[in-house]
Amino acid sequence: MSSIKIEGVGKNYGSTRALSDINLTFEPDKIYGLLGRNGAGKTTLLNIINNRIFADEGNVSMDGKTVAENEEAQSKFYFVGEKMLFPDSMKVNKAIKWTGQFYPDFDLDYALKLAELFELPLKKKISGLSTGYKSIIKNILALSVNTPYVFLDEPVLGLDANHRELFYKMLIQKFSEKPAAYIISTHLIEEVTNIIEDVVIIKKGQIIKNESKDSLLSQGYSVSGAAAKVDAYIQGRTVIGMDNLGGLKSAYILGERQADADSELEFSSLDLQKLFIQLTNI
Amino acid sequence: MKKVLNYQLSTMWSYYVAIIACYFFVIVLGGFIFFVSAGSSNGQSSGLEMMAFIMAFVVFVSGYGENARFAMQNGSTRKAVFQATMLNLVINCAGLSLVTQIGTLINGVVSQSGGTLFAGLSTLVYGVDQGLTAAIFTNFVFTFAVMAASGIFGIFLAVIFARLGKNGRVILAICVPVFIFVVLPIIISYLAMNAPDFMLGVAEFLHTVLGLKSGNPFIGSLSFMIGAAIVGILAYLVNRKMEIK
Repeated sequence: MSSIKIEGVGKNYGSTRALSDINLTFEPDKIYGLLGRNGAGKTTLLNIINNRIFADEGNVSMDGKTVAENEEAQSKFYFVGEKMLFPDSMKVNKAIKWTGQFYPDFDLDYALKLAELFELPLKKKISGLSTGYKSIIKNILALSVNTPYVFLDEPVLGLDANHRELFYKMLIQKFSEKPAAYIISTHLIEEVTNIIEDVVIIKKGQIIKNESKDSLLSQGYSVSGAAAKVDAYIQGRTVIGMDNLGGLKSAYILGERQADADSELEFSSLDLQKLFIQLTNI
Repeated sequence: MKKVLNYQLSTMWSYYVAIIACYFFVIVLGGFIFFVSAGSSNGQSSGLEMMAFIMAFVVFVSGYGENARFAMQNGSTRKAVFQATMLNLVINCAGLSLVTQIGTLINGVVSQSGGTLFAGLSTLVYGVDQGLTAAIFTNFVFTFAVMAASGIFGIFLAVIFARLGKNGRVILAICVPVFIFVVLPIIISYLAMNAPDFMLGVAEFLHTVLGLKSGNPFIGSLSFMIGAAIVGILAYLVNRKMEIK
């Protein structure tokens, strides 16, 4: 299966620069975390890849062909956006049926099984569903279409903890049984940390990190302990952030951990959410 | 494109039910009036065609955006959506035109409109004296052409709506009826008073292209189809850069 190449993509909304010189490759059969703060440009990027909007500069291609207005390429993608694009009057069972008509590898039995697991009311109109159930129907379709690329923009929006856990469980199960590329854009970084393999961090329309999660987290470490000890330790080191709590301090440091470290300090690996916050706060 | 067309066609049945129900109501009403007036009713037109023209406009102006969004959710392109919509327009204008002819014929039988069995709009406007089959065929073509023009104008407005932002949509929603019902009549009356020769030329041109001068409904039908094609090309060009957000 081919990869998606994003080259020099830029997008403006009036005088606002939403995306700037985005260069990125999405490989098949991987789970990506597309992370960024509100308004960073995540949804804009997903909209461009999925032919919803047009890039002002650059190109998104697959097998050397642009994916914009390319039915063959778009048939390999499924995009769950924040906005429902289903007709208001459409019932849940019709949405499942019609999605199956558009995607030849759609697994109807699996979709119905998921609907039962999530207790999705099949005969209800989509417009009458709660925010959580609207997310559920979109996620069920995304897990059942069996396309090589699935883009999930805030997939757990409005879902309660039980449904969130069930969704992640079904996603991992689906991925292990039938691998595909899942690109998950979310704010809930802690919840997806254990799922994602690669991390793409967007800040103010630009990609600031694009690498494997393990590689990203191995670039630094955190050190905690008495404030004075921590302050002494971080001298001459690249500190990307600090937290204070009373006389205790935690520092997040880029670079390799020193072997002769002070035994009174506590060392741990970087936390993705902490790293994200530090990287996007700067 | 085929999948989009299948989906679009599947959404049309409710419109057929609505228009057949309307026709049924008109026919029953016509029959009732004929009955109570003891056969003295002399209605010349049932207005079924006008209902179909309005229906075509409403169906496509209201349905295009929704259909396009659903198709694009499922990986279709703007081009495929537009092509499918055009085919849907042709199929449904032909279907609705056929239903209209049947309705008009039944209405003619029930209410004995003007003493004739088939009183279609083209017969009334152009005054062509034809046999029953020829009259039905002529009216079928004429109804189809006007309905297609009406539907494509609806699509054009829907496409412009989809391209515009919220403020633009409000402005368009106000400007179109204001232009048609206020500005245009003022311009026409102004020109009629101040440039009568120009207006006579325009009237002459319209009489010719609509086939009224020659009394030929096929010329009128052809003009409506050419007009529909021109608006269709404009709609396609606007549709190419439509964004779904």
